Amino acid sequence: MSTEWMRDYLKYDSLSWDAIEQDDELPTLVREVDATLVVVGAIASRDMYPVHHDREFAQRAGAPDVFMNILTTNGLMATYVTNWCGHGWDLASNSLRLMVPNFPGTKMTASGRVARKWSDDGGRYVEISFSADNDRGPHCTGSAIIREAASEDRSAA
Amino acid sequence: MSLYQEQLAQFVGDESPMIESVDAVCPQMIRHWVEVMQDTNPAYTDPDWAARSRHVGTVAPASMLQAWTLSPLWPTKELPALPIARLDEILAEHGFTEVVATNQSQEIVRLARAGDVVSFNIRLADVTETPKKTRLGLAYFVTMEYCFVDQHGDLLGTQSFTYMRYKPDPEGTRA
Repeated sequence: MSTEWMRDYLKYDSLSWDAIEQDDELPTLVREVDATLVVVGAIASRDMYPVHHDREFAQRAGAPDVFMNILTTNGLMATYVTNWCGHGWDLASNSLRLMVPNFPGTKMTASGRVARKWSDDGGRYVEISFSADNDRGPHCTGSAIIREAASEDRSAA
Repeated sequence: MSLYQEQLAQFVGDESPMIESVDAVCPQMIRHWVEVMQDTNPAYTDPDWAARSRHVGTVAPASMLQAWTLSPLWPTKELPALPIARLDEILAEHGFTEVVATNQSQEIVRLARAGDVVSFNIRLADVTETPKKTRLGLAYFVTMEYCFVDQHGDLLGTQSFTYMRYKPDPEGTRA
């Protein structure tokens, strides 16, 4: 199991249904947040609102600096989950609440736990509760549900 | 009468028409996204691997759903009259000039594939009836529901998005 933020997909198999237990902890991972990550995240998500790239504009809005947009946080936390479970799972839902913004010069530490594991007619599912903290406090909390790909699909790649 | 009763309540439930994205789902924008996320799933960036996989071709990360639909900086895209735009104007006229997102929730039905053209619409689902006290100042919380479809009108996913529009408090602090 990799403990890097990035997952080497070709090296690690996808997690199997049987390998996942309720209350399993996901590895705690850290992303350094700098101005580049904030700005490139905003642009990659096509969010041109100036609080995410223009410090003076952000300060007029009451912030000490530019800060990460919600789409980047959402993408980072989704990646935190899918890099853990691997390509044999699809993200079915992802829900988060933002708290203390990610300003440049902080570290974001992500952690997660398997909250639930169940199957129904639609397939097999796992729910992960996650949170991320930065140097100033809690950045976000949320939960993601992943759905296992059908077995004939999993063997295809 | 409160501002909510007088001017805001009328917009709750309003829905926009479908709005088509400027760019089709493409490997270039996917790569820019995964470069930020450090997402190494080859279904996004390795076309040969993706073609052999259950996806049968390059797919976009689920979280990119809304990113396909945001308006370009230039030339400005002509948008149909959105209920949300008028609501934002009214709140700004009353001093609630600043915006920060607080909640995002996505349900994914199927991953968008390279070549898909995403369209979306917005429904104004909720506005708080009275402004709430926050660390940044007094704020109204606005919740919108999004629906995302492909070029055939088939559902890709839905999203709920909440932001607060606040009156900056000079004594307030963001963190």
